[in-house]
Amino acid sequence: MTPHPRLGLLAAMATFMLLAATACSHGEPSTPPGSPAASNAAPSPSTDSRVQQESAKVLAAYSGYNEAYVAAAATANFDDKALPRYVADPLLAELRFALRQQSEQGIVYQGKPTWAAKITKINVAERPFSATISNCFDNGSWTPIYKSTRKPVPAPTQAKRYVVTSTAKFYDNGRWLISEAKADRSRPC
Amino acid sequence: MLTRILRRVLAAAVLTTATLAVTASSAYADHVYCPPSGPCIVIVDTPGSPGGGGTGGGTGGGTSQECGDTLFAGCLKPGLGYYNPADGCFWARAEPQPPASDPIWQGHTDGAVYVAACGWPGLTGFTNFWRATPPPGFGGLPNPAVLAAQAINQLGIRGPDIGIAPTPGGSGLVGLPVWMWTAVSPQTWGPIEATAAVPGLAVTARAKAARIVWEMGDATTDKPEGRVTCTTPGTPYKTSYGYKASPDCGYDTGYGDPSSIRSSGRFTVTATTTWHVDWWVVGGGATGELTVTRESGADILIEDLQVVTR
Repeated sequence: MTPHPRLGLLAAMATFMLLAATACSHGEPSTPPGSPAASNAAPSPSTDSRVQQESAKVLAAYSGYNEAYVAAAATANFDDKALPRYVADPLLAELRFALRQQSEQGIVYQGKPTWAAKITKINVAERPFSATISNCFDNGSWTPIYKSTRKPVPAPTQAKRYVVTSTAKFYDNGRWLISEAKADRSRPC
Repeated sequence: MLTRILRRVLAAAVLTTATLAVTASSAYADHVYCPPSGPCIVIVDTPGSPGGGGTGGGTGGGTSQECGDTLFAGCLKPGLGYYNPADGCFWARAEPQPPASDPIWQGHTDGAVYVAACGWPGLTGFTNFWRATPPPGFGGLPNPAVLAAQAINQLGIRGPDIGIAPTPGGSGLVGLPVWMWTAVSPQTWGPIEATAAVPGLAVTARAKAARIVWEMGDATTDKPEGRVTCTTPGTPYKTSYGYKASPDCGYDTGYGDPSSIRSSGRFTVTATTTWHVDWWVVGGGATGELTVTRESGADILIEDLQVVTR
């Protein structure tokens, strides 16, 4: 596919913004104990421990998604095999498309973003099980560059730290998968 | 939210319909061939296989050609899915399928959840939808030429509904004008149209007779066969016309020999209609034209004039 000239720029920007919206860092601790994990279920000792258990799985999936994506974006690998273990459609399709655009534009990502994710809502009482994850995302040290020249990809001035809200769902394969992610660049953090 | 998606989808649909008309015809080199009898077939004429080979015209199997710089119905964009010009979205099956309890199913237990990437090329809404059936063009669409062959086969065009004076039941005389005509109907003279369609693609074929060649069946070792080409359906003979020649379609010199020179005692008249057929993708896209011939026959009895004058 030959990219449309104008589309090329759009795609590069969109790729950047999408990455910015969804990526996260290594190393940050996931939800600390006693973090504001909420539940629809009535508070009882057994539900609490269930919520804690599932919350940990949700955050592990969220972490896995971000690590897989940062790794894929570093090489523009749109066929990354790790992503589907943590991500479901429509987010999966969106990420793969972004990676494909990135590959067509010869763009790779350098460095790493950082993140601080917490669960703001979780329902494990009634199917479908779902969770909402709020993440303070910082892409200040995560840069799209042209693979050939190692020069940064021009991008409009934009916020570098802002809130990204994601949805996780529990699928029939027994895994929590991240199915949506939306960045709110007007919400610094 | 839904309104926003719909608006985006509609805007994209308008754009892509316009571009389709210009471009899709180049995507297919295959063409339709209609033998004088039997169903029309598609001759595959791809760059990789010069000369190509025939494939059955009746199958309509899906193809999954990749979308080029321009989009056409059912084309596949890797990573995005199959293109549906009606909504301007690329469609793929959602992986994995959401759990049965997910509200996206709206209580349905049939169908599937698909992820639609809409608004090309201005990125883009990726949204899951439940659908009872796959979107039009999902999995690829048949080659338009295949549908064209189907449409042509549905036309029901045929050779002339032969009218001839002298009539096949009666007899005529050597040297008298012969009148030939066809009863005019959509199937014998046109114009006639038929459409073959699968969800996402429809092809209409339109046929009009161009001429009828009448071969009079009277060739001998001394003399070639009488042959008359008529570009009209001809004029039906009435007894009030007497021995006049047909104004537009006749064997005006008449037969030179009696049909008793044939072992059957009759001349076999063969009339072949040449049809001009146009086909096109409904709403714009690939087009084609071809000629199709269909023939009919009739036996007539011609007696020697001297028998009468003696």
